Amino acid sequence: MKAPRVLVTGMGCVSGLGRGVAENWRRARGGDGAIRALPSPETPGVAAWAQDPPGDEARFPGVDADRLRRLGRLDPLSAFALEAGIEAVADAGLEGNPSLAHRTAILLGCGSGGNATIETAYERLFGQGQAKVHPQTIPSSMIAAPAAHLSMLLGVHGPAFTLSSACASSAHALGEAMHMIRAGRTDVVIAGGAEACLTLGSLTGWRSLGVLAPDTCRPFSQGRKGMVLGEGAAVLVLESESHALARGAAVYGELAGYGLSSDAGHMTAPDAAGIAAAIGAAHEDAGLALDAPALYSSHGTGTALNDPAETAALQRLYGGSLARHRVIATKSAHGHMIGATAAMEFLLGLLALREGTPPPVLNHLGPAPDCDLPLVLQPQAFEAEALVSASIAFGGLNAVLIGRRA
Amino acid sequence: MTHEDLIALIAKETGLPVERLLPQATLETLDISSIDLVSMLFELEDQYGIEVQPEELTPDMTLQQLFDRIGVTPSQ
Repeated sequence: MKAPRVLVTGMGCVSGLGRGVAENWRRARGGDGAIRALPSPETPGVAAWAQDPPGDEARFPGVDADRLRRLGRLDPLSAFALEAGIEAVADAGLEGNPSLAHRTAILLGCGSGGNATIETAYERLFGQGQAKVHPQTIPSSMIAAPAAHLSMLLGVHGPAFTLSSACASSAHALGEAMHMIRAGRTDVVIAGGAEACLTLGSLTGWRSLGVLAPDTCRPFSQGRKGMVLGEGAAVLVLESESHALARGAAVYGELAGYGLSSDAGHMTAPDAAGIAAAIGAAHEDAGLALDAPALYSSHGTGTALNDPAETAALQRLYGGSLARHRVIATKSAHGHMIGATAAMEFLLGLLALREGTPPPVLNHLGPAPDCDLPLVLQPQAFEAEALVSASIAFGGLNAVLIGRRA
Repeated sequence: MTHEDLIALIAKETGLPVERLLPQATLETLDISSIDLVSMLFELEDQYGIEVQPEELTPDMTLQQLFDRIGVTPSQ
């Protein structure tokens, strides 16, 4: 039996760019980035931080207050995931659909757990010398909490879990979700990722690693100085074609391919061969020719190591046909959202593919000799046959998604 | 700690609206989960140094009994 096509029928997101898909897409497409100075003097530097949320009724529209209460204390990580998840399910028109209870799975990617909750607890212990921490420290901060909270809020009784592969977490989540539908294990998957890492401890860890730019994120540019963190969540509703057609769902596009590799080499240095292997595998899975004009949504972090390795991988894999593709790097707008970033990039990439308007790479100062790519530097029209959205994570964990128009 | 402080603390830790926190309501009828009760006791001790053991809280305990136990009565 032929595996079912997997369609995208709903989307939701929150990031430094704003709340909701419409605002995020409007700003990304228009080249209006979210990277700016952090608001607290305790945490110097820049990030694509999200504005304080509105009250629960506006933030979680249509959610019964008593149901929300039962979730207990929400770390910002879970709150981001719920916000994006509720938007995606409402956008898909699945609220109240009987399939939610037993023919739906939830698969979220997170790079880390609830940093704010953990750091508050540790500050009490190590900073204040207190003996106790808040009783909900563990359930609120566990990396599985966002998936659990979303299942409780939506009444999803099917498989629900969080998976983690650093900066590729939500690419792995979307890809594995696609395979769950292909295998017939479920009709719908609410899949994506979340991250809430702009806390003092997390930021300090990243800064100590020496990968954060002091100014801004300049993917594939001369004068680039590193990555810039973001935060938020992006969630998509994936659905088997028959299930979507049967209920007359509106369709954004298709998740048509998924390629994976592990460099098995280094914790933080990417490997061009490993990256090329994952991209090639995704093309093969989707049946997409390497020379078909593609919108390539890069990992594009703006670090010294990522950008040349990714460039070398693209040159090696695509060869002379690389010039037929266009490369975008939306981390220059929404920052590196770690566990959420791949889903965010796939979401924006799919909208760009649909509308033929790729968002420009921001903050570019001029060509870098080791990053010779057909970059989209100004808003422009580009009719691609497919989206290739790549994630190249710490640990050498690579995952690539292919999107097509419906 | 005033009565209003205590009501605000219970509302925050349980997520219940203040108007439901009536003196005659029991912990059971308010449907407060055990983890929320433990959170409430944690904040009570942390912010006000008032120690109440979890086993003192029974499902049929009313908020009035809890106020009495803590020694905080409404200002009339």
